[in-house]
Amino acid sequence: MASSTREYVLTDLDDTHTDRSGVSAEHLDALAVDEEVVEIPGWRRNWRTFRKNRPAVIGMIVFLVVLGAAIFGPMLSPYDTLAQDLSNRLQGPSLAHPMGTDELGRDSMTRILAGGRVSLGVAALATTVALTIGTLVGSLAGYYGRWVDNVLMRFTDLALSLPDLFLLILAASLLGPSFTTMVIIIGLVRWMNVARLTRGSFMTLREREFVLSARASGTGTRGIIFKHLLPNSLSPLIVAGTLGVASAIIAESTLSFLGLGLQPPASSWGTMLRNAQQQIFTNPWAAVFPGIMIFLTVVSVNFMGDGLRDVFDPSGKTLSKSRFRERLRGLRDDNEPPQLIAGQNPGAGIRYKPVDE
Amino acid sequence: MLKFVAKRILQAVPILVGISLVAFLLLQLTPGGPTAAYRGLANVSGEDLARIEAEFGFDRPIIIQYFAWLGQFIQGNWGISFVARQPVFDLIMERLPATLLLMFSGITVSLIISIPLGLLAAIKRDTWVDHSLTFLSFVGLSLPVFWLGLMLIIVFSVWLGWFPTGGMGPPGQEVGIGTRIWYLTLPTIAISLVSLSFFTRYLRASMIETMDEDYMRFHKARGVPPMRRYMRHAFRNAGIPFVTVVAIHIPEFLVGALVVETIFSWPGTGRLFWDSALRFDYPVLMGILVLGSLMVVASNLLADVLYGQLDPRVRFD
Repeated sequence: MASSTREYVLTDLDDTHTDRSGVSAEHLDALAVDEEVVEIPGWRRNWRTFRKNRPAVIGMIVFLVVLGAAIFGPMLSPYDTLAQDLSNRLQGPSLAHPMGTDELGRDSMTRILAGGRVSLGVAALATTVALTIGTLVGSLAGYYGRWVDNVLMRFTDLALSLPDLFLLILAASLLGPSFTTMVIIIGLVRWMNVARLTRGSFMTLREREFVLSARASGTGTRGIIFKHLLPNSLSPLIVAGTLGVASAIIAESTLSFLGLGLQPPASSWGTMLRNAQQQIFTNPWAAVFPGIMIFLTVVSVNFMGDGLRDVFDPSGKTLSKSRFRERLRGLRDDNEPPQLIAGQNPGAGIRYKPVDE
Repeated sequence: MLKFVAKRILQAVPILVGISLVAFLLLQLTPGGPTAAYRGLANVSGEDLARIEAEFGFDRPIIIQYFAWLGQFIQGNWGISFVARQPVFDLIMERLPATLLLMFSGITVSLIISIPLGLLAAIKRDTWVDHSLTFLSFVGLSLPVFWLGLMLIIVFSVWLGWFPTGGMGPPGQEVGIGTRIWYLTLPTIAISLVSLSFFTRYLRASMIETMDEDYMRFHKARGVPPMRRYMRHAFRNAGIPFVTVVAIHIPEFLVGALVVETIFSWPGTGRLFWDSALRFDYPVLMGILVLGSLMVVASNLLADVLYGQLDPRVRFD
């Protein structure tokens, strides 16, 4: 049992830390004696790696500010999101109304902050759905291998070959727009990357000694998956989940902008832009601010994700050429699934997913 | 080579079958079922309806229905639009050239801009040039396409009046190539910005990877001038994965076209898709979805073939 714990810690170190300079095997052994001792510097070191990526830190601060403003802003604002003031319609930015007013004289900033709750809420929940489905599919495929893997991965390939925005629009048109529908359909078109990542790490971890030893000491399937495989597969998922939020925000706002997402009176940044589109001649400011909010959030989350990738997934940062060739070599093997598929290659599914897996 | 292509096409078959199954099952889910479009037509009698249903096999078990539907689908019989009351296939093919034009111009512009920028970033690696290009590409990747389009219209059409707000040309006129480009400018910017940021980032990474190879150090040591090293040795090697990534990326331009066509009233398949979604015109939606999926499968195949063609080290058995 003791040896299994030690091995676990070693693996953890090996996979998570970028800075391996000067860390010898003996050093690792020394560190691995006590799990507690290893854990704390691990986090501190992660933070140090993250901190080195200055845009990522700024991104994190901006994101936290946007999040805080969306949560607390509407409460602190002197205006009500619905209070009309017809004498102050369609105003440009001013001190009283920093983002202007809309066609009914409502304060745009208050409405935009309240809309942020909806946009961020949909994005967070949709990403949770995507992570859940993806981990489930990827775990099953990676753990059981053989035909389970074959069936599930073919299914994933299939899902990847349906253009996502088209599928989203079709689904929204079939199911009708609502908060719940948005969360579910966006989650349903975004799980494939997560499934592939989970499967990949399960496949390699499955054969590792610490898993074999856990199995030998009588750990059941569930224990192996949840206590050994999953915790060791989390790193790339943290990165994918973060970037997933950014792509979900764009997906939701695009759908709402096209009139197929949330409908008024529910207001997200996307629905506000849809409304603004009809007033570009009379009130162009209405189109500026919700878009800036989307952009700021997405760009800050993307920078943050880049920083997290430095911490958790240093190898995934650039596509190493040898890895690329390995993938292509897989093409010639009958038992391997076709390797060059959209979504697997760096940024293949790109528009909403600036991920380099 | 031919053998390899044939093999890859065979490998794509399960995906194609899957796509058709998804389309078929979704069509079953739509209100009124697959023949709903015919029901309201004045010149379609109950007898005709029965004949159409028999032709598509909709009076038989579901598996037979699928094969009958698939048979019709392969022959280009994609059903009738609920709204336009025309065959879906014709409707789509009528709009396809406009979309292809937009995609082509988007891809061309993305490449023309991203290749020099990617090379520059890699050659000036870790300088302010590289850092600002990386920063800009992050910004580009995070721009929502629809908002970018909206801003372009507000700034360049409404305020400055330099470009038209939308459409492919003045209505009811023969459009010359100058006018066409004038109308294409804003939509092309909107469709290419995200992709060109991605291409730049990818080419930079690929170049840097190559420039770290031993043979590059060797060329430097034997005194090959820098430009020749970068262009002839690094770029030619880094370009191979880049080309395949561009090929895989082609369907993203179709998705981009959907948004851009909607904003700029560009009469292509994307706009048709959006119109149809708002009017619940499911046969049209299904047709375009299948077309898009075919494009994904085809561009993956293209990527594989290109990789083999460009890199003599990859051999096909």
